[in-house]
Amino acid sequence: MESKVILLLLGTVFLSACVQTIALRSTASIVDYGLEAINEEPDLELAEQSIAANLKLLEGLLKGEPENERLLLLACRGYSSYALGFAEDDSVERARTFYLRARDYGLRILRKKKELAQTLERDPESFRQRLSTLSDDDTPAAFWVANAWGNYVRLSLTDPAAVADLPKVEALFDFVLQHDESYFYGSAHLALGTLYGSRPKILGGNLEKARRHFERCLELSDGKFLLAYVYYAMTYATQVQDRQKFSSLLSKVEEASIELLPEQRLANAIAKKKARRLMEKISELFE
Amino acid sequence: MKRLSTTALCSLVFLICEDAFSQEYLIKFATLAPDGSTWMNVMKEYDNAVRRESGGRLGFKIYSGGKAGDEKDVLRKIQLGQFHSGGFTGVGLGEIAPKVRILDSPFLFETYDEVDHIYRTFAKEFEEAFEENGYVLLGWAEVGFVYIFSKSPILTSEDVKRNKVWVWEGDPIAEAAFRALGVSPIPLSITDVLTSLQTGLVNAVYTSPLAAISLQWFTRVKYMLDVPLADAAGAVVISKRKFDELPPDLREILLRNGRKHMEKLTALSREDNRKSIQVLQKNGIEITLPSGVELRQRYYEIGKSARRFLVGKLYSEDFLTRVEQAVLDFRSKRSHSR
Repeated sequence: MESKVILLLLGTVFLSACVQTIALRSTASIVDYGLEAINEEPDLELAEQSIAANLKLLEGLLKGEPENERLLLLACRGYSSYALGFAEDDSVERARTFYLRARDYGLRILRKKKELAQTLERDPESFRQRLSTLSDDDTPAAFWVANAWGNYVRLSLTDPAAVADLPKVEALFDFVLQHDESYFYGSAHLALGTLYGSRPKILGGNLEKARRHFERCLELSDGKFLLAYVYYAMTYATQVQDRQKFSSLLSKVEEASIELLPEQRLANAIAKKKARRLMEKISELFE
Repeated sequence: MKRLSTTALCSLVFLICEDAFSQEYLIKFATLAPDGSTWMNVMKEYDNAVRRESGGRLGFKIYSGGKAGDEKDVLRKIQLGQFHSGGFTGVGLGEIAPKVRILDSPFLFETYDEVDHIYRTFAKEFEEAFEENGYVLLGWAEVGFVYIFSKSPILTSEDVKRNKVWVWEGDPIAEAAFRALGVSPIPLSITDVLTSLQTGLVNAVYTSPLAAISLQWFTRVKYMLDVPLADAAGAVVISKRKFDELPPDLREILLRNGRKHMEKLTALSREDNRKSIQVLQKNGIEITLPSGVELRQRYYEIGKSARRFLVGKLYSEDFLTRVEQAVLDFRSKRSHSR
């Protein structure tokens, strides 16, 4: 009798656990599809509202499954996109918070790699060496962590501790280049171009390297991922004071059809918004 | 409704444009500091203060991040009248008034109190040196103490000799310092340092803790010698020609705010450098501190002879002696009062 009860109990527990998991799974795929739909959304206002709601839903799901790598990666991507596309324009402080949150979600994936995890808080050289213990499968996590982290540093130049992490960010992007340089429209090239193109030579910038990274990104994305033009103009073209290049890069963005890359309508709409803002600043940026 | 908002937008754009371009006096300013850095943040505050107090008659147009070229390019553009003002380190300041380079001469200062004391004591002489050469000082904004970073530990001057030491090509100050230390340094451009540390062409370099981080040199060294090699100077100056165009009330606003904001910037960059040393330690850099009076005395002697190499090139013997004496007087008063 007792054993039957226990069995029954166990069965119920098992069943409810299953139901919960199934529920989580299907909600997770709803979120997955939801974010896909957001990425396809060309209307910035609608995207901004729905991305915020989806991020909270995602965080709710993560409470149930804190180690679910797919959810962690989505949260990392989602918060980065929200910061880049929306928060950054209104408040640098908010954007920094979201980039940091994005990075930390992503790092929860990388921290599972024991050998790498030990070097996360150590010097950049040890970190770079341990990256070789990762495999091709780790490319997405490496890219999205580096993307969030790099953007965080870009907005934290007054904090020496943040700046000191830049070599780790570069190491992650280098890892992505080695394993799949075309990942996410060649965006590792975009990021490195921005990194090398936004500082003068004397402060560690390298304009020739920046130009090559941007060109490679445009090649890999077939010129369809418009943020590449925006950052090319914002960093390299202003740094070399090439007004003509600046205008021609930005007018490519303005003229491009929003249907150029349907699965990234949102990113391209954000690029268009950023391009317009930059264009308005042209007389401030050039002599 | 739509028409209304378009009109509102137009007038808004108009207002913004007016704000940006209507200054009677616009000072074109260049710096190497990138947007978002402490340096640029304070410079923007300075600009805002000047605009506010002058009722919008005076303002800066700022070219950050080296967009106007390096320090020598900017000085040339100021000569041509294309630019009016800039933020410079010792390299640029030395081109204007060589005498001020005494401020970043080797092993002169041990503490920032000493630095402040000398800036105060000789303020008038430095300002005159700028003016004689066609510039007006708006405020000092030092880079800060520069230290030797190396792959193997350095404590004594003998340790320095065992290293392949980098020197910035065309930097007379560091060259004199290393000559006095008995080292023949390897001259390279600043952009080649990181790679040269990697390949082993050099294994010891000098820079400020903050720059060691932003230039990523800290990834290639293990030790920092906690004896300041020099206090790297920095300042914001304006061409006298432009300054003299301004009516007296605007000159006053520009100068007063310049002093105020550059003082703030100096305090902040000292803080940044202090924090940077902690960050370096966290990243595995060991700080070596020579203990004992003898070792310190040895560096003092080296500095003294290094500074003599520069007499006649940068400053006069008389000026050097007066500055050195002022440091020593201040130092002994300090140690007595302790």
